[in-house]
Amino acid sequence: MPVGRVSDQLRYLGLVPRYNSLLSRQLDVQTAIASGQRYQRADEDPLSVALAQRFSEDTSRLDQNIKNIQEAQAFGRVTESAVGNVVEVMQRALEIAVSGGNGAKSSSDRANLAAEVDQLLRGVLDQGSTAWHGRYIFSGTETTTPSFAAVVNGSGQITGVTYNGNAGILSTEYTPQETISYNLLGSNESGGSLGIFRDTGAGIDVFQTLITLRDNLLAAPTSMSGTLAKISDDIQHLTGAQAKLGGMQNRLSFSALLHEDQKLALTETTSQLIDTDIAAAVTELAALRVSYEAALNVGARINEVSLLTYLR
Amino acid sequence: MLPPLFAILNTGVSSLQAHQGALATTSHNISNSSTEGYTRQRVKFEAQRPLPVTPGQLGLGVQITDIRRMRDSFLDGNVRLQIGQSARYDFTAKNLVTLETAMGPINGGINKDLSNFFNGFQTLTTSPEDIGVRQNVIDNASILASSFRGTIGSLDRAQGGVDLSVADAARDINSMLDQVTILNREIQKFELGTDNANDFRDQRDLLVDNLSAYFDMTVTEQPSGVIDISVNGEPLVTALTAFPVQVVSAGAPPHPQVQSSGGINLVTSGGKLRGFAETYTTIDGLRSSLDDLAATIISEVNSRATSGFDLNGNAGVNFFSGTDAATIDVSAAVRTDPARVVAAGVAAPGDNQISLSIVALQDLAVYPSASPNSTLGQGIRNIVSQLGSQTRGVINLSETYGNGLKLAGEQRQAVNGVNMDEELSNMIAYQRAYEAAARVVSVVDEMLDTIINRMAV
Repeated sequence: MPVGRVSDQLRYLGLVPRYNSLLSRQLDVQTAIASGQRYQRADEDPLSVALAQRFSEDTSRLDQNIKNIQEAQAFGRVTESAVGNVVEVMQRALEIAVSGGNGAKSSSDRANLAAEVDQLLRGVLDQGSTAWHGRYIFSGTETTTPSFAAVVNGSGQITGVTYNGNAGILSTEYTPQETISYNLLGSNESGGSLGIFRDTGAGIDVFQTLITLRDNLLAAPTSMSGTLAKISDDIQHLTGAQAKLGGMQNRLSFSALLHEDQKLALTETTSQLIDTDIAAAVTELAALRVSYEAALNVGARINEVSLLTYLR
Repeated sequence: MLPPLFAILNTGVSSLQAHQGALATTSHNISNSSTEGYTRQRVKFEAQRPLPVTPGQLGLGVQITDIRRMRDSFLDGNVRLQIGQSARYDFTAKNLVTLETAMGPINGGINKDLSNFFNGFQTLTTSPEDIGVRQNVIDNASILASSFRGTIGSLDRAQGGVDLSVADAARDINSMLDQVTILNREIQKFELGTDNANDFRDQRDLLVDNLSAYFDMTVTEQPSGVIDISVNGEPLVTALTAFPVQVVSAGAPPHPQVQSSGGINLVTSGGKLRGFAETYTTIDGLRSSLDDLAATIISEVNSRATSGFDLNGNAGVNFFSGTDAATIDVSAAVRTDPARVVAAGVAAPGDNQISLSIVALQDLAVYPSASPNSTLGQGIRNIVSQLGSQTRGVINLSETYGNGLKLAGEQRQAVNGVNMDEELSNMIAYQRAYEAAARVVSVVDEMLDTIINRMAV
């Protein structure tokens, strides 16, 4: 813009806004370096900030989903362990049934085997009421109540087992907007598709199988073929549940890995959007400092010459 | 006919007087080179009425006929237009930045607290029996509620700041209107003769410049030299009378407003008063959006909570109390007993159907202040993003009009600003003319001496 005349106010004070502008920009870059964030407010780049906020929210949710998965996996591992223990018990029961069915066994031998079966029964009862972090894992959503309770006769012998849980499903979000149920019911007599120890649909009752085996051993020698078949069915049922648990664990592990990859991608993208590029910022700061020094230098030189200098 | 020696003497004296006066003006200019609003002055020399002689005319010297301000009213109008728009957007931009700060850091604020709130319920889905986890849910919810209330508090403080600015503006305007009437009186009195009230006019022009930071005005100068000022057709100054402005609470919702004594709103397209109104509108919009968001969270969470059961199997109670962003809080019943947090859809301690339902809330388009409805997270992000975009736009306009004002100011300074080199050059010229005139007087004196004392009688 051709001005023509340059007044003294313009000459001396006109440069001040330029000094301020350069100082202000230096301050912005210094803040960006110190905070590690390119933007301090949304107005500096509304679109980038909005995207970064969304990515940050997504990252936070994935983090939470990973925690949920870890919790569900831990719960599942405890369940797997309990079911595995019961499988081992039932395999021993199978051996005892085969052995006890042998007509050569004396009544004393059979009584000893019955006593071992009784211990196995009590062990299975303990496994049925496994608790993790104070939660009874087979009780459905009645997690504060032991899943099973023994019914005993006057001599303390277990004659039956009652289920104290319900058909409740424990589920959690393992990926945004998707939930997974991670518990197995001890019994589905109150509802549900699968009961581990007692499944009314499949005709499975691990406790009753062991009670029958024990009682058969104590009774007169009789054929064990029906009991053997029951034990085999129970083992097959339990190993089927193990397979289901394994599948769930794999699914959760795969999701956790996917979430970690997604988190990494989101973090990188967020960083590119709003984090300070230190090298670029330091270079910019150096350039601004040079410009500032040059502006001050030029200002001083312009202002040092005047007609007054040459008048006596 | 030859001019008499005394006439030549008078011619020399007129030059001495004229250049002495011109030097005084130069000195005045130099003295006021840093005075805000000062307009450089120039003397106008004219040859004195000549003496008709035969042949031709006999010059009788010089006189100062005018000392005038070097000012361009077109440039004044342009500067005032830029002052008004610049003041409007400058004020609004500064306040919008304050409001952005009130919304919290870009990687925090309500957005992050809302995310943590849902994460708390996520954890509850895996451990609904755990009192520690329940306490964490309450803590996260309390932080979210506190964040809402804190933001509203910040908006209230920002609004209080604008209220004070409005009151200050009214006082400042009234003070300046009074000063304009005083200067009108002085100028009218001074210019009854042929003199120019240059310095009074400078002061009055500076006041008009400063008034234009508040609103667009119509300024009309009367033949007597006084000016009338009106805004939106309402007179603020008529010759020697000022009509003070007043602050009145008006609008819906009501906010302090600068009105004329006749009750007319003085907001125009430019000026700080427009900035005040725009800032109030933004604050109202933000408050309304935050209220809607908080009310949605309260109603959606409570409707789920009251349909479920707490850890002890009791019917669920409201999780949140309050109705809007200013009153939202975790309900007293829940705050004092974590077991009252409702996670279960049936009366079983491990059931988590309600907590799952609350977790799912973050994906539902339940926030009604967006079109179409959005999720709660999108809602708060939109609020922040829209404020950011609005602020960016206003800052750009502020910079644009700031540059425009700088340019207009430079153009005006080019006409009315004092240049020291120029003044010193004039000073040398006047000094030399003065010396030459003095020399003429000396020569005439010598000639008179010759005639009076040395001629033989």
